[in-house]
Amino acid sequence: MPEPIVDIQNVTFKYAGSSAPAIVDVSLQIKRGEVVLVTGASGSGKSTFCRLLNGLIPHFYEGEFSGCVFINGVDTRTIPVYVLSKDVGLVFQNPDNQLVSLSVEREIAFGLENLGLPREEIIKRTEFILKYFGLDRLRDVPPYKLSGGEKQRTALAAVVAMRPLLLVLDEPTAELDPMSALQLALMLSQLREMETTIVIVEHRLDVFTPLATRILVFSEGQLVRDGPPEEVLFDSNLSSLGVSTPRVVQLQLKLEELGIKLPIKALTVSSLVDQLSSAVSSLDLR
Amino acid sequence: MISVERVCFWYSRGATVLDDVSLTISDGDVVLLMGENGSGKTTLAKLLNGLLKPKSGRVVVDGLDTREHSVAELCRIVGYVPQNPEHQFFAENAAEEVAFGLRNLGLGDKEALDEALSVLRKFGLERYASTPPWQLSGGEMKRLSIASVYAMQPKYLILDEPTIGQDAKQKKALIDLIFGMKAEGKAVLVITHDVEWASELGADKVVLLSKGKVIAEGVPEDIFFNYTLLKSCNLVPPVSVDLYAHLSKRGFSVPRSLDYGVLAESIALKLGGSSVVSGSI
Amino acid sequence: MVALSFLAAFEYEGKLSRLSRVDPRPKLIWLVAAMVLSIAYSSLKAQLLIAVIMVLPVIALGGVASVVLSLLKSTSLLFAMVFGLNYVFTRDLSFSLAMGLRLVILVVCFASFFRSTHTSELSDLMTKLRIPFYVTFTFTTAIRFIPTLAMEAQEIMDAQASRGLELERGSLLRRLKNYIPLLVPILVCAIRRSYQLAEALESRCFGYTKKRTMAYGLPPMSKTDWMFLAASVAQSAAVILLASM
Repeated sequence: MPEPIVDIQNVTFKYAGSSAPAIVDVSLQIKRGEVVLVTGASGSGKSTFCRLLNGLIPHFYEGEFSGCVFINGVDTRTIPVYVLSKDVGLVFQNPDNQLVSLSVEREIAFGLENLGLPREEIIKRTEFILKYFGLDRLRDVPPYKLSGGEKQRTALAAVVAMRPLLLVLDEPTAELDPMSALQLALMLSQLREMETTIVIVEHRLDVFTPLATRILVFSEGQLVRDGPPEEVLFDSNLSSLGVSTPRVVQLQLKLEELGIKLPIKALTVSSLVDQLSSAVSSLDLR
Repeated sequence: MISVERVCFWYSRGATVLDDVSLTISDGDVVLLMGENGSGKTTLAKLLNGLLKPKSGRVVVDGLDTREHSVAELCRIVGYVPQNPEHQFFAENAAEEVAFGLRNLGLGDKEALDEALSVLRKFGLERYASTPPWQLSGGEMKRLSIASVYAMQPKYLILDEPTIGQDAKQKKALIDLIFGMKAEGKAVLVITHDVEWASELGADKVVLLSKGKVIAEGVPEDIFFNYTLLKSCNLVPPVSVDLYAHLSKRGFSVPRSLDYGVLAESIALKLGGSSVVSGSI
Repeated sequence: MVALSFLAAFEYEGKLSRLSRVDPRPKLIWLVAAMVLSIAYSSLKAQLLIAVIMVLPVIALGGVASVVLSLLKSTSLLFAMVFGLNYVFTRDLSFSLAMGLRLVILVVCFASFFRSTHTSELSDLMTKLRIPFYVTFTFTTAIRFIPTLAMEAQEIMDAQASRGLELERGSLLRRLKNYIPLLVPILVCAIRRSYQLAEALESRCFGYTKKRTMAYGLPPMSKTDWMFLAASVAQSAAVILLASM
C-alpha cells in the first residue's frame, strides 16, 4: 500500500505564552488524492493544523510540540520549512500578505526562481499556469490593483506552479465575497481532477462540501469528527460545535424530524431537487 | 432620517463610483446595502458620516447637510463601524478603547471610563475591560469594535461587512445585536455581500447597488427571490431561493420563504409525511 | 497635500512616453552624469548649461512637462529656502541662484528617471549591477507595498475620524497625542503583515538555494538605447567644454 502523504501521530502543540494547547493529541493520515475539508469553531485549532502540515509548526512558531508529523515519510522536525514547502504548498487567508512581487506573472515565477529551476522551465510553467488559471490578461498587473478574488487566485496559482504533492489552504475565502469563493472552489475542483491532494480549512461548507471526500471537525484543539461528508454532516449536534452545516443538509435534517427521509443524502441543491421531484412524481404515479 | 439625494461621487475624473444615487434611511429601520465588489457600498457609507462629501447632490442627516459639517460633528449622529476592527484598536485595554470616542465627544476622563464600562457590560465584554484589544478573539474584537462606536450613542449605525471572518455562532450573535439596537430605536445600515446571512437577518429594506447605481430597493423577499437580479449583480442567491427556483421549474411548488423551517414543512406536507420515501427512486 | 503631489511625480506613469521605452541603463548613466556635473560645478553658467543641454531635451522626450511643472511648484519652497540661505550667508546672487537651480535640476532628473522606469525594470537593473538579491528584493517588496500601506493608512484615518478624532484641533501637545490612535494601528498592522509575509516567503521556498534563478532580466540594448547613451556622453562633453570657456 502506498505511503500516506500525511501521517500525524499524537501531536499536541501549545503556543508559547498560551495557557492551553491549540492542538491536543491529534492523529490521522491523509492519502494521495483525498480532498479533506477541515472545519470547526473559531479558535478550535484549524489554522494550527494547517501549519503542522508544512512545518511552520514547529519551526516558525515557538511552543511545546510533542508527537510527530510525517510528510511523504519525512519527519517535519528534521527539515526546514523552505525545503518542506517544495512538497507542501500553503495558501493563506489574507490575500495581500502573501503576494510579494510587482506583477502577477512575476509572482507565479517567484517560487520557481527560489527553487533554482532552469530559466526555460520557469518561463514554460509560468505561461502554462497563467493560462490555466485565467490570469493571462492580468499578467502585468501589480497586486494592489487586483480584487480580493484575483489576489487569492494569483496566490493559488503561484503555489500550484511549484507542483506540490499536497496543497493546503487556510481559510482562503474568509475575506472574499461569496462569488469569488465559488470561483475559487471551481478552480480547486479542477485541480482535484489532476489528482492533487488538497486540505482546505473553511467555514463556508455550502460551497466546499461538494468538493470534499472527507471532513474533519476540530473542537477545542481535538479532532472530534473524521469521515465522509454524508456521515459527518448529517448530525444535528454539529451546530453546537460551531460548524455551519450546509443549508441543504440542514433542510434534510429538518425533513427527517418531520418524518421524511430521502434515500440518498444530498450534498448539493441539484441532488436534493432531483430527489424531491422524483419523490413527488412517484407519489403521483401511485 | 438620512436622505441621500441624487448623489454622484468619484475619486478621480472618469471613474465614477456613485452615479445619481438616492435613498432614505428612516428612524429605527434595519436596512441592507448590498452589491458586488466595487459597486460603491463603502463609498456610500462614508458619504453618510461626512468622511466623503458628494461631488453633486447632497446627503442630509436629520436636517444637516453633510457638506456643511465636519465628521467630528456628524459622528455623534451617524456611527461608522469599519470592516477591520484592527484599524481602530490602539488603546491599552478594551475600556480605554470604548472611552476614546466618548472623550472625543467631550466627556471627562472619569465619566468616559464609567460609561465605557457600562457599554462593555451591555455587550457582554466586561471581563475584558483591562485586556488589550488585540488579545480578544475575532468575534469579540468585532463586538468591541461595534461597542466603541455604539458608545457614542449615534442614532444611525453603519456596519461595514460585519460578518467577515465570523463563524456561524458569531454571525447569529450579530443578528441579535442588530435587533437589540433596533429595539432601542436606532437605525442600522448593514453593508454585506453575504446574501445567505442577510436573508436570515429579517431587515426592513434591501437596497441593491450595481456599478454605482441603485438598481433595486424593496423588502427582502422581493429582492432575494429575484434570481436574475441577484445573478446580474454577481451575488450568490441564498440556498432557499435556489431551491425555490429549481423546484418550481420542476413543477414542485413551495412557498416563497427564506425560512428553512417553513420550506421543510411545506415539502413534508407535499410528500405526505410517509416515513421513508419509496426506495424505488 | 503638497507632499503627496511631490511623491506622485516620482511614480511610474506607464508605457506612454518615448523616455519610458529607453533601457534603464543609459538613463541611469544620464542621471549620474547630470548629477555629478551639477554637483561638481558651482557657477550659475554651468548649472544653466546643464539645465538646457542635458535636462530639457530629456524632459521633452519624456513628455513629463506637465508633471515637472507641478513638481516645480512643490519644489519652489525648497528653491526659495536654498536660495535665501545662500544669499544671506554669501551675498552672492549668482552663486545663490546656482545653488537653487542645482537643487531643481537634481529633483527633476531623479523624477524623470523614476517616472519613466518601471519598478521591475529597476529591479532587473539592480540584478544586472550584481547587487545582492536580498537588497533588490527588499527594495521591490517595499515598493510593492507602498500603495497597500497608503490605502490602509487611509482606512485607519477614516475609522478614527468616525470616532471623533480631530487632527487639526488643539494645542501642539494635544495634536501630537492625537497621532497615537493613527500610529498604533498602522504599526500593529505593519507588524502583522511582516509576520504573515515571512510565513508566505518560507512557504514559497525562499532560501531553498543560494543559486536562485533570475528568470527575468533586461533585454539587450537596442539602437535607440545606444543613441541615447551616445547623446548623454555628447551632452556631458559639451557641458564640460562650454563651462570651461
